[in-house]
Amino acid sequence: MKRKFEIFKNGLFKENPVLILTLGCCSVLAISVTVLGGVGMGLALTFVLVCSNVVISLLRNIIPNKVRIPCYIVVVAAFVTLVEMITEAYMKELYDTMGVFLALIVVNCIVLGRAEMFASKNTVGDSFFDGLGMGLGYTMVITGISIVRELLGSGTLLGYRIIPEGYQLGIVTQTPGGFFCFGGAMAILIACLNKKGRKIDSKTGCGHDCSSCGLGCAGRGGENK
Amino acid sequence: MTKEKFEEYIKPFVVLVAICLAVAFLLAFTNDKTAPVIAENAALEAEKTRQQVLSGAVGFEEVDCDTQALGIDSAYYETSGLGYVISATAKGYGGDVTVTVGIDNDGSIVGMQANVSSETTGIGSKAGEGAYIENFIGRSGNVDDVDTITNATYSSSAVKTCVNAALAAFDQIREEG
Repeated sequence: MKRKFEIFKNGLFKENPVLILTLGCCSVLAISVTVLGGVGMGLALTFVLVCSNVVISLLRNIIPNKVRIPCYIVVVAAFVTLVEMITEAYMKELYDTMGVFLALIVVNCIVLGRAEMFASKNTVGDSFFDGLGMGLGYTMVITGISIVRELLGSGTLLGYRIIPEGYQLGIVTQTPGGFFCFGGAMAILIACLNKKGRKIDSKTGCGHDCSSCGLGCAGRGGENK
Repeated sequence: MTKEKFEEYIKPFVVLVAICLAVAFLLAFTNDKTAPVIAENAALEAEKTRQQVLSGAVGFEEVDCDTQALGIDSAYYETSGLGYVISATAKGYGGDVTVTVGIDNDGSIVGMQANVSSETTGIGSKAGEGAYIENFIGRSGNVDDVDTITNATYSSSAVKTCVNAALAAFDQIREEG
């Protein structure tokens, strides 16, 4: 159980998919304009990630190596389409906010990345917690960024006006503002991790021992000097 | 056939097809359950919009006309004779902009709603806000002289294009009776 908790916690901080592994950044930049959209996108991605991780882990001994990527994509696309149909039917407002980015979860690198790096090599239980941790790590980041962007950019939170009209910074809702917030969030997380004594290795970009890691980047720093 | 050949050529094929089939059945089942709800939502939404642009409306009935030739999405007349509600779509900056216009029997605009959800928040989205929509209320014939919004030319032009199409369609429908 301790190992499972470790895996779960990894996704939240040490191996945060967005800020440390820098996967799935385009959706974070695009949908973090409103808090509702950010939280919705995060939860949709978490659902897809947990389901696809579990299914791919279940099928990991059946799927032949040759066709593994097409198999993963079909499984991921199935869950994304499922989420899309359900949100359109029962959560129309959320569906409208997320627009095309909901469908684009199919090609979100976090989902395929975790399928390839983790779920295809680990047990169902571990994969479930990996998906949950990574998904919530993503949700945490996109929610944090969207709170800052909606508050400063539109002067509202969840649609309620907090900063009076005319005093908001329009640029924060635009692409440059997204990059500012993204960079800021990344700096804060890395500063916190460094403070705790886990120096981020500048070669591999992660703050832990390669031998105990499922990321599959082991030796990346060493080989490609 | 040897075992290696099976592993090499047949198994990948069989597994992929099996996964695709399973997925197809799952999605077909979900679609079967959600499609009616989605259609119902869309119909409710459209009815609500029509009520909003033509206040006091009792009910609507679709006008029998060639919407494609008129360049509009749909045309409805109010059953108690208040006027018409016409929707049209044009290309904006980020995607399609759909405008629903309520027109009284004299041909002037009494209410209007623009769906600009595909436009940039805070810039193009202004073309769908009340302050801009106000400019169109009371107009008839065409709205060429309404100014576009600075910085949001594409989005506001799309709204104007839609309104012009709706007004032109209105004239056409009235002529044909």
